Amino acid sequence: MDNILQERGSVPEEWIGFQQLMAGCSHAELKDFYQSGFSYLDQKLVEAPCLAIDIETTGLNAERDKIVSIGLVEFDASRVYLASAKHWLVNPGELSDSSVIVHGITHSDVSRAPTIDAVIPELLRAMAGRLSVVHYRAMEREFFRMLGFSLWSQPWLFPVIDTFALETTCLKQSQGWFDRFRNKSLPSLRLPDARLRYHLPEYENHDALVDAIATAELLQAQIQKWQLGDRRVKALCQ
Amino acid sequence: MSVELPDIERALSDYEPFCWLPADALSAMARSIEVSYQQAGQVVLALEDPIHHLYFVRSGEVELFRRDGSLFNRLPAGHVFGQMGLLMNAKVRFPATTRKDCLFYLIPIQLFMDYCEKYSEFGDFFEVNEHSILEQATQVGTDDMTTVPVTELIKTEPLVVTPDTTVAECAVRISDHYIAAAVVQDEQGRLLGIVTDNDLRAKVVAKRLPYDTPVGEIMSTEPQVMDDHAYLHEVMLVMLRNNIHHVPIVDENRVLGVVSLLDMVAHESQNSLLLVRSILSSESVEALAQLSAQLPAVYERLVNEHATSHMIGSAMSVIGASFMQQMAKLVEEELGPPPVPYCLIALGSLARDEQLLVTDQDNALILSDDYDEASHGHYFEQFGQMLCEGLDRCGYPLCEGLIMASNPQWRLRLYEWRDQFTEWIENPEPKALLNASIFFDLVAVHGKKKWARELQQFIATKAKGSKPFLASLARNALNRTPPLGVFKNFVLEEDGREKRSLNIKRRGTAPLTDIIRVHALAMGSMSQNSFERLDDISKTKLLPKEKYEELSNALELLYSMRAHQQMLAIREKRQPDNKIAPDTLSLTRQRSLKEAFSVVAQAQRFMKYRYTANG
Repeated sequence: MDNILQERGSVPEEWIGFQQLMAGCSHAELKDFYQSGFSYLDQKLVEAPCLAIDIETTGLNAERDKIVSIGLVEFDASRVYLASAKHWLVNPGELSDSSVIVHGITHSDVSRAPTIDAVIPELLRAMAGRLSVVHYRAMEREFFRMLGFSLWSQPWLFPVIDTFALETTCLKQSQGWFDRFRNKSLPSLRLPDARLRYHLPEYENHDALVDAIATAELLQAQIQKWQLGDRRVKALCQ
Repeated sequence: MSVELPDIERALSDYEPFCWLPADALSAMARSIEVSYQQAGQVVLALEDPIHHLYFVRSGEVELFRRDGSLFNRLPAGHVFGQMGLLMNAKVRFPATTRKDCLFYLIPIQLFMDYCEKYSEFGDFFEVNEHSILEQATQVGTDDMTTVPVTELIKTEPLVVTPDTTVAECAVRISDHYIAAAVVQDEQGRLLGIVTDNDLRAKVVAKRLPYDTPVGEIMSTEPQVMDDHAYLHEVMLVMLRNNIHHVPIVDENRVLGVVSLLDMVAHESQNSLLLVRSILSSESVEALAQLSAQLPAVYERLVNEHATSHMIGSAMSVIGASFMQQMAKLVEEELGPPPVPYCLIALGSLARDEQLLVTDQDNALILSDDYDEASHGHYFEQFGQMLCEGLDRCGYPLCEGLIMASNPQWRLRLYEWRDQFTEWIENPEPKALLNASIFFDLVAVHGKKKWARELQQFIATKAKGSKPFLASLARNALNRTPPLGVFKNFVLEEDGREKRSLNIKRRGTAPLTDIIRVHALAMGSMSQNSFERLDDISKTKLLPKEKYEELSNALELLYSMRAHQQMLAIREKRQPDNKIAPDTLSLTRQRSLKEAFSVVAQAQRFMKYRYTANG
């Protein structure tokens, strides 16, 4: 295993090679996940089967904090399939007092919830063969990397499309050269603010599932506005 | 694990009909939804495409269009569309385009159908809404100049002349076509200019130009044109801004027609009252004939305005009677005052205040008892001829059964009418009565109106006690049966449009009005309208109260379906008729229609035993 992959923020240089390497790993469930492949990388974005993912955590530090809920929904460029939506509360084990309430999730909620290893098999099955889409990959990526270490002693990494990064790129490209030259700051890239630019409605709640749905809708809007449908997935993901 | 989607549920439950669903049904619906984002200006549904979902506008705004491309409705967040397609044959009826960036919730057809059956309020919403959507459509679609495409005002092909046409020729053609402007084009069909009747006055007559001046010399060149996508208000603005009264409407480079300021004003004033006023002030048969062209639009509006069938029937009857009255006046002007007084009467649906669109003229004359065939016959023969031909020109076709004032058989002195009715009532021959039943619905239209009332009174008194007469009339009323089979299925006939349909007039409203007429005559009612006759009947012990309500509901339903069907025909630019293909109706409507027909069938059975010649 390439040591560099243990570092925060690092990703494989070449996803297919990494996938092939990992497909030979010894943990059955992880092996299945990698064997299902990253074939979507060569597809056009408009054709790719996607999975929007959002997690809620006890804090921002992936090495110390824990996941307390996960939301997923399958979608593609034209539809978000709510029938496929999944939402788990996750019992993080010991919970510090400071994080008793995270996004409306209480201590007693999570204390009755399953632990992450009970959720993982279903999570892996849902993710297999689908392009993961998140808003602000830095969070998800590090938490999943750490999850890999704690469960299987190896980093759990996979390609993602980051609607946050996509928004940054597209907004920058649409800026005039003068604004770029002045390094004019971009407007807010937070999920609700980015959605507003596409006239997407506001959601009252911000649990992991709602944010996953919101992310899926945002990517649909970005694909249409910036005409990303014919672009290859690998050119857009990280 | 069942996923909860409270945000989705809340977005739905803020609006009808979702707010009426039980919580678990709403949750299940939320879990079945597919979400779809579409930017502004995109086609969501194309005409005749298969449709598998009900569309809920979560945010944004869509526009729905009619078959002919005209705007049908605009729907902001919280509205649904696609139900017409889902309820008909799962093909898109009203194509939809996003007007703003939209987020849609797509509800699968199975769940939608299932809920329509299971939750009556939910299902009723789509039934009722068929009307209320239409109602909205009239509000935004016809009243608001910002949403009516100008092409709706183009009624005729443009009058085209070439630049070398003389102004004299041009003037003749303009006045022949009853229009106010001619379009000047070259051989290649390129638009060169426009000549209006005002140009002819101001530039030719006032300047004393010779009448053989070519129009090319006096036309307004480079006229302001508008393309066929323009809305009325845009055309209006252009007219105001440029101080012009005529604007050619072009598709690419082809002139589709010329819209005048007068057309715009006329569009805004299509209501029945104005129409009646215009009819009664018309000074020629031509003018009347022109006004009659407005009838379909007035009708469409009436039906859209949620009028009850009684209101629609009355309004159309008032209009019909106004045409007759004014026509009679014009004929009198032409022929000179009548040598003896007369009364022009209308018979059948007009007399009952139940006129809809597709209807023959049925009329007759009551002449003064002083009428003398030798000295007055010629006048009334001409009068009848001219009256009926004039009405024919106004869209009231001649009656095939010749029940018209032009037929000497139905120009009778008052006492002869009494004799005629006595004959019908005292010696009832079912066969003779078959054609005569229409005379038992009569109303005065013009002239000595009290004579018509005298006849009504005479009939009411005489018919009441006459059992053989009522029995014959009752027997005749059984001739046309409702189109229901043994298992309450529809019995359909082939019609010319390769569709199996039923005639809702012949098999529905007509037999029902026949039944009501028999009851009304049996109890001495002087009312002519079927609803009023039912009211009179309800005051007697003839029928149990619930039967009377059933009849009244069935009559309303049959009439309003007939009216609605005709309105759709007008809207889709088909010839209105009385045919309905049940498979184009939603299941609930089909059910209601069957109920109404079975009420008619029951009423017929009841009547068979109620009126016997010696009973």
